[in-house]
Amino acid sequence: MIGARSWVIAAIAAAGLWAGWHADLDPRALVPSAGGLQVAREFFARALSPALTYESTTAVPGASPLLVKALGAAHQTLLFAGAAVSLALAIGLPLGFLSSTVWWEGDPAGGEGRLTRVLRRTLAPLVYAFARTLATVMRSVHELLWAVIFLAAFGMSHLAAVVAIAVPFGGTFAKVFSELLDEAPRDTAAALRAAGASPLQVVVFGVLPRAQSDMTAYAFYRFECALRSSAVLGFFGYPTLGYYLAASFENLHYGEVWTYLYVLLLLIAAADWWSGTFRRSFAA
Amino acid sequence: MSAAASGFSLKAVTVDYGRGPALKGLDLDIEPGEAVAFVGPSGAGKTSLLKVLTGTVRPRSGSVAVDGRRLDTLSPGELRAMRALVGFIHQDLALVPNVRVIKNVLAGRLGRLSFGRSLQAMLFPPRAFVLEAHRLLERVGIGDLLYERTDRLSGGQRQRVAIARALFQEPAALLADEPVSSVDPARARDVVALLRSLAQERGLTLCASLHDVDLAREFFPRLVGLRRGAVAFDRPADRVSQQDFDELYDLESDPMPDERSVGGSPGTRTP
Amino acid sequence: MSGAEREREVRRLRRERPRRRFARFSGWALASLAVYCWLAGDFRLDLLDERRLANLRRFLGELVPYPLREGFDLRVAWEWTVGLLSQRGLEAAITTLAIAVAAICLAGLVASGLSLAAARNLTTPEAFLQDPVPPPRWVRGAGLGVVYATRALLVLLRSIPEYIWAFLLISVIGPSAWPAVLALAIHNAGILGKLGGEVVENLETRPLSALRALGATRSQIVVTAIFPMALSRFLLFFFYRWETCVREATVLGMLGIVSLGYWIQDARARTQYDTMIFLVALGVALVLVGDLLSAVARRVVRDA
Repeated sequence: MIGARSWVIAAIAAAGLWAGWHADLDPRALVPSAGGLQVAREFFARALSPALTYESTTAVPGASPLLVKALGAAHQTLLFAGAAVSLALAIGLPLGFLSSTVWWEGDPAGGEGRLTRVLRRTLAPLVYAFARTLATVMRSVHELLWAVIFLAAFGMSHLAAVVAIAVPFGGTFAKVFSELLDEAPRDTAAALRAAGASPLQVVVFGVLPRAQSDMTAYAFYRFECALRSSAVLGFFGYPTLGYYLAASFENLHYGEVWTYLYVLLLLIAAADWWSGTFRRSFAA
Repeated sequence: MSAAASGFSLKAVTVDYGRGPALKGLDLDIEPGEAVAFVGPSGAGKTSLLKVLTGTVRPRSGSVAVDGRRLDTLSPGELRAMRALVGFIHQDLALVPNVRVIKNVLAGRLGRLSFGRSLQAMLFPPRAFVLEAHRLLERVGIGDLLYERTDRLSGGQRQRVAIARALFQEPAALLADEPVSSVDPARARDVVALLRSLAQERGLTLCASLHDVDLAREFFPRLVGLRRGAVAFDRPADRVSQQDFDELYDLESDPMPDERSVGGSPGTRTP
Repeated sequence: MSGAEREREVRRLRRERPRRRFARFSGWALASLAVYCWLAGDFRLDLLDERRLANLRRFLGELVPYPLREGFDLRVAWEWTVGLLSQRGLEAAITTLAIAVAAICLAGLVASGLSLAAARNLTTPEAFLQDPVPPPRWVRGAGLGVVYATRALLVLLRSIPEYIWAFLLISVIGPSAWPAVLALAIHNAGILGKLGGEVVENLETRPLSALRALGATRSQIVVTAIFPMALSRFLLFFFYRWETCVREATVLGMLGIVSLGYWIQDARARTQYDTMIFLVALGVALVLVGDLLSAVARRVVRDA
């Protein structure tokens, strides 16, 4: 008996084979050329010995030490990420609220005026559909694509880069938050409604508290993603870790590349640790 | 809001959730200050009846009047005020698990506060509210747990928090849906006794649905037996005989189509 | 209790209440961090610069799609659209899709193995059962060692952004589709490995203990019990990550691999902003199709 899941797996396998064929994924192409092998060897040789000072033979006088520059880049990465996530939350929370059904669910015992009922049946679904569509469009364009578009329109602008990350992240927040709100248990909401609370009170004090711990956990996760995206922005000229990483790599200073990689890893590990400890202290 | 007790009057109330009537043409009058126990098998309509009394379920036909005012003639604001008058203790308690007990208790008075004031009250509880909450928690026996996290409490303690929340509403009536269904028998008597004494102290009308008929008979002066959404009997406790109970709970003569078991958890079918 | 006594009692309870110090501190720290980021960063709204405004004007000028520039002619619009699609758009879109599919399949394959190694309840000497004779400490330590090493590896794989993986791999393998596929596969193997490990750890132990008690070896338990039990949840994560892979595959083209991103970058370099936006929109369409397929697949898995 072939169940639905087996069909799914078969479909995945077939799709994988098609994809490999279409993209010319010849396993033999995986074997690097002599030049590539050289790069790989030299690169991995430095894995355990990241550079602590500059590797260039021509020293630039007055340049700050490598580690200071690396930490400065990490600092910039953090700034971009923090600004982007805070903006994304400011967008995503109200949009997520509008994208859920919780604000126009209605009282089953019909404790609402005629105008409210009409609005709920006509205007509310439109607003809901619009909010969901907006969120979908926002998160369908990758943050780097937004960055590239803004680069073309506004040139190098740090604010534009922050907005470039904040737009898709805000859209994702909206989608996830709306799902969490829709799936939150309604028992407390029902109890508050029975105690005479207004619809707004029911949502804020009855539904939201049941969803808020999941929402917070997701926000932490997104912050980690923002750190990564912020680092990659450096490839496009912004002063984050990616910029220096790319520059060092192109100059064949692999030790420096590892330095920047380790700094990035430390940054992400710190965010991960904070998120885990926060969640544990909440559950404790 | 009046501190006096509320009386209820139901006439020909029919409640239907779409899967068949939960209440059929029910007539019931409850005087202010009375203590009534609703008894009956699972699915008899006890929870629906309680919800109709508190105004969260609208009957398909018939009228519900609280203190002489029909609920279907009220504006939304008036309906909310009427709901605030009736304290409801849910079977599953419906508390927010990851907040402190005091926040759960304070939530009881949301219905009487504007949104702005309620936000202020929940974030920065006024001294008077805190003291009042403590007084109520102390009265139900768990004063020390004022600042504990609700999900750290035992089932019985959470039950008392739910009772305190209902009392914090300053209601005129207290309704309890299966207050002892998930409590062990030794505690069950304590809880029911507590409800009775609370209602008597404050002069509240008390309605509770119970499946333990002996408990009902012991503590409540009036028993209303429900069966298949209609009143089977409505008598003072001392005039209810064992035969009445047997007929009420008798499955063989009139089995309910979707009844799973006699000991099945009550109230699971009601939305 | 008198009023004053109650006041004292409440004050005492408040003082001795269980504190979630870290959570509270974190809340303030996060808020301050947000404010700090905005203040310390160079985020000026500096569009009033002459040069920028000129740039913006040029951008908007170039943005108007070619067919619309001199009055709308349906035929010109049609030819332009079809031309774009046939020359590069469609091909690049399909390649993007192929890269995403190949990457997630590879990631899923690798991650299945890694999940098992990362699951504490499987990679221990006493899998699911208490051994009557507890194994020597070093064996238990080795088991935990494998778990933690696997987890560390997974963290490493998923902490490095896909873009950087691709960047590094291109210099080694050359600009074929492989760097993109491998970069996405590596990053997502890290994510799926972690999620899969958690799924295995959260499985109900009773049926597994029963099998072990009957004498089944670890691999037998994996194949007959763990796999079917964990499969559904793993597939849900798999399809969620696929949606992300489609988005990432588009962007990786900007490194020189022939996906949509490559042509987007190309159009930007030539200031053909209308083409650029057209291709971005094509990417959005691709993402929407991908999300739809994923939603359908997830519904099938959930209802199975």
